Amino acid sequence: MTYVTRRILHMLFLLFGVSVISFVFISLAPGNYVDEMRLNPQISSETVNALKAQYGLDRSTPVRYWQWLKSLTRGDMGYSFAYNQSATSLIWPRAVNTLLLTVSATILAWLLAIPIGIWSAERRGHFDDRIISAATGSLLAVPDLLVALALLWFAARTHILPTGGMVSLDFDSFSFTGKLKDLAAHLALPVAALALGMAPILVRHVRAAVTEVLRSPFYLAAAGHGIPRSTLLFRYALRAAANPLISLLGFSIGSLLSASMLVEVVLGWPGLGPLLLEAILARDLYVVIGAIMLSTLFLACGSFTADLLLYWQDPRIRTQ
Amino acid sequence: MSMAQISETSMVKSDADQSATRSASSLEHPCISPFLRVQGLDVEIVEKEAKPIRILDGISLDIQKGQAIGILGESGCGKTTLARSLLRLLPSNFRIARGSIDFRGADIVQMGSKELTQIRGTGISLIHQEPAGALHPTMRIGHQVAEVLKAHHRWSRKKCMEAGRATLAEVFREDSNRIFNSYPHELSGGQRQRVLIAQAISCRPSLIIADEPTASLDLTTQAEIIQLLKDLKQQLGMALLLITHNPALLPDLVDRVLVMYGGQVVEEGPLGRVYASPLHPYTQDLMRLRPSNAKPRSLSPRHRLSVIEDPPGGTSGTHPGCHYEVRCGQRVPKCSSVMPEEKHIDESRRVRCFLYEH
Amino acid sequence: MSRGECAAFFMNTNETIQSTMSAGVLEARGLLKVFTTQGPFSSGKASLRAFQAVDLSLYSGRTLALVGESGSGKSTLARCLVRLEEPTAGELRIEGQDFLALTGSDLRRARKKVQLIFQEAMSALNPGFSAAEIVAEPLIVNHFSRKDARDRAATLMEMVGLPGSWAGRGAHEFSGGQKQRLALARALALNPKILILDEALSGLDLSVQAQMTNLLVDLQAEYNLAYLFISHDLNLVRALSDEVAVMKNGLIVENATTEMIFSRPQHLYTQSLVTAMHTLQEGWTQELAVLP
Repeated sequence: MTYVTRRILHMLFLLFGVSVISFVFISLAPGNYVDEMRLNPQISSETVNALKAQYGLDRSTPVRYWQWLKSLTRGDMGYSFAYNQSATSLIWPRAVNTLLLTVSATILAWLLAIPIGIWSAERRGHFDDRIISAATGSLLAVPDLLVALALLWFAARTHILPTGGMVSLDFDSFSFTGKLKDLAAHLALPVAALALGMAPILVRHVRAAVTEVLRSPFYLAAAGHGIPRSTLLFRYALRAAANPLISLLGFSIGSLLSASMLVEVVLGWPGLGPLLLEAILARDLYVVIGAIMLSTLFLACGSFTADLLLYWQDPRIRTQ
Repeated sequence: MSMAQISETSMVKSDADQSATRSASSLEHPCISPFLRVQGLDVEIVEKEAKPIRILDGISLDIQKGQAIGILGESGCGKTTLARSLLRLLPSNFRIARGSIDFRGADIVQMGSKELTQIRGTGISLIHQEPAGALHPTMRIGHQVAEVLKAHHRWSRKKCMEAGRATLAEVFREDSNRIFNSYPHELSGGQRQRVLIAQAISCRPSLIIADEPTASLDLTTQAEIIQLLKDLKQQLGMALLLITHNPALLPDLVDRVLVMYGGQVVEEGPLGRVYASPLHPYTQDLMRLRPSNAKPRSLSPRHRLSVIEDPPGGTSGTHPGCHYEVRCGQRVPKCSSVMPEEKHIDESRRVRCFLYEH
Repeated sequence: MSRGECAAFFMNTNETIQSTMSAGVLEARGLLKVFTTQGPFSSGKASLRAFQAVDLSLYSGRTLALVGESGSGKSTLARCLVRLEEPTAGELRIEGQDFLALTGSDLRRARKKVQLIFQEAMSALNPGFSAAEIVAEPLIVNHFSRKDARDRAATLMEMVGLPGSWAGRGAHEFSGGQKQRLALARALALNPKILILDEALSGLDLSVQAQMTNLLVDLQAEYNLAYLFISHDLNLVRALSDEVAVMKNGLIVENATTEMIFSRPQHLYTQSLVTAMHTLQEGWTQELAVLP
């Protein structure tokens, strides 16, 4: 069996485990979607029971789980009670939005963190390094929510950026480049909120990893051969420091994903976050599970990508 | 051509400057003027709120074009610091406190970082101590050699790679193409050492400093590396500064030897004369460490080796006198209170010991 | 404390030392170690033989030297002999006991008999530890009281030629040679029968190497230790060992008395090693012949 197939099997197993656990926990929680209807005097108990039977909520948890699994093999993630439509068609577009947000935020956070971290390591102990350390330290102390709210306030005051949603109302009338610009403007706020939350951690890790490399004999040897400083820092040091940073990449995707749930709700980004929140409150069983499953899948794909990157970047791992 | 002229004219100037500080200067050959002249070099470790620790103390040395010089000393004597000082590759808490390093008419101590980057690799290059750690772990060998060439030439990437391939072929008789595409961890210690040598010679510097080039290598590989250095010195006419703790490596390879102890040059002279009749007590003790028998038939297994005895209190003397005093078998009372000056015994030898003050 | 007192102390805590020349204190038969590797997109496994068919016998009071080029499997063998790594196949007996079959507390007990010292052994340790803490650590792990451990640490330090009064010094205050002495003291703490010295003297200055070699010879004579001395320095091998095993590409190609190896090397590789030693020293020893 190749490493890749083993990893994919491992990932399937992980998804299976997560689905079982979330199914069990949601079933353990008191009440379900139709229970809420019972409180409504306008709906007769016959209707409620009929709905319950229709949704399959009268059956036991293992049976429901088995049926869900069977439908999953057809690519069907179940049915949303609240929206009265297939959960798949509800979740997918939202998942794509979340993915867009998370990937952009990951890229931005790393693009900020790498040069700042390298600079900070190179200037270790100097004034600029101390400024950077103080800045990352204070950003780390601020909760993500506060950052998001501050950005929201800033956008609302200055009207530079739109403060919610993903596109403008008249999006369809724009040209292609206009559409892109509009999307980017709407992305800016949530991406900035996420990246600002993540970047300080990344800066600190980049600084630590690069600092170690700057002390290593090969770096000194390369400097002794007269290789210019920019090449040394951005090619030699960064490549040598890459291993822990790539592992961190997998982790950063995961934590950005969970942070995005919150930021999406606060800044009105139509991703998985608001959907999941509503679905949990409404006990919309299959939507909750579908959203959790997709987040898990993204997370697993993130760490899988990181491992493949590691293979590609470090020849020593390739031969081990 | 014009470069040579410039360096010659400024050399005259530095000669004139130097006559004033004759006592600190090292020995000169009458006809050839040195292209590297180190004078009175002091290097210190500076820690916050602490007295600086002197690592190198008044080092003077001259290297002529194409000459090979050996530096002999045990660990902690400052020989690696000296190697790095010549390229100003010192850690940030090290400081060159005094002295000058004149290289082709310019003082390396005063040089700006741009000139310095230019000199490293093209003027002076350093073969680093540990071949295992001195190569980038995740870059291909060919790329690493090509980077050195790229740093000093306005060449295309392709041309650098080709030149790198050619340089590797100079140090590997066979297999250089496979090694070009390999990663460091795929090579043996001896092969890595050859790659370091290839990097060092790639831009044809006029001086190569080899810091313990054979430590941690197998015997057969050691012999091969020494042979390679001999061949390259012959072919390329570069000057060589070979730094080692092992006196056995130097014969046949270097003309002169400097013996270092406690951050100072305690003895200098032509290799044959220093080995045959060492002057300084430390050199004498060092020479006594040679393997007892050289002839295969008279080998006696399981014998005691001669040693330099350590005093019970440790070897780090704190008194103002000679650093070797605590281990020295020929000490006189003033050794512990006064530091002996360098003394020129004849036109080619100098020593730092009271035994030779008449 | 004098050498004699140290010895007496050592003997008291030690069980009776038997010098059995018939069966070695360590016997390895047909040891084999294979590493398997695999790429991300391939299902095939490549196997790499570190060493194979290794037969070794170590005897109390005697030294076997293991020489060979780096990458020839010497260090992996050393690690297998103390079971830091598991040999793939073969037999390993220590004082007649099947070492590879041991587990749990039996293994821990047997492990005390074999100690491994490698190059720059102390560099892996926390530089903030004091010498006494470093030396006493294996004792404390083995349920000595703190006071006993500290007293014994001072004794052990004197045994290896370090003043007992240096016990409080930090590890970073010791020179390279002194650190190897500390490593030696630490290895001797639990009264081992066998010391495996994996390039333990490499990277030290000549004078320090000579001091350490003489110290090893003295310790061996006093405590009847068996040494496996792994080195690429044939001068030290000559001074220290009774027998030499030559390893190339994971195979022992020649095994003979030290005298035989140096005077009449049989295998081509051994010959090249001995020749290299002479070539490398020729200049030095010849120049010295002129000495008055």
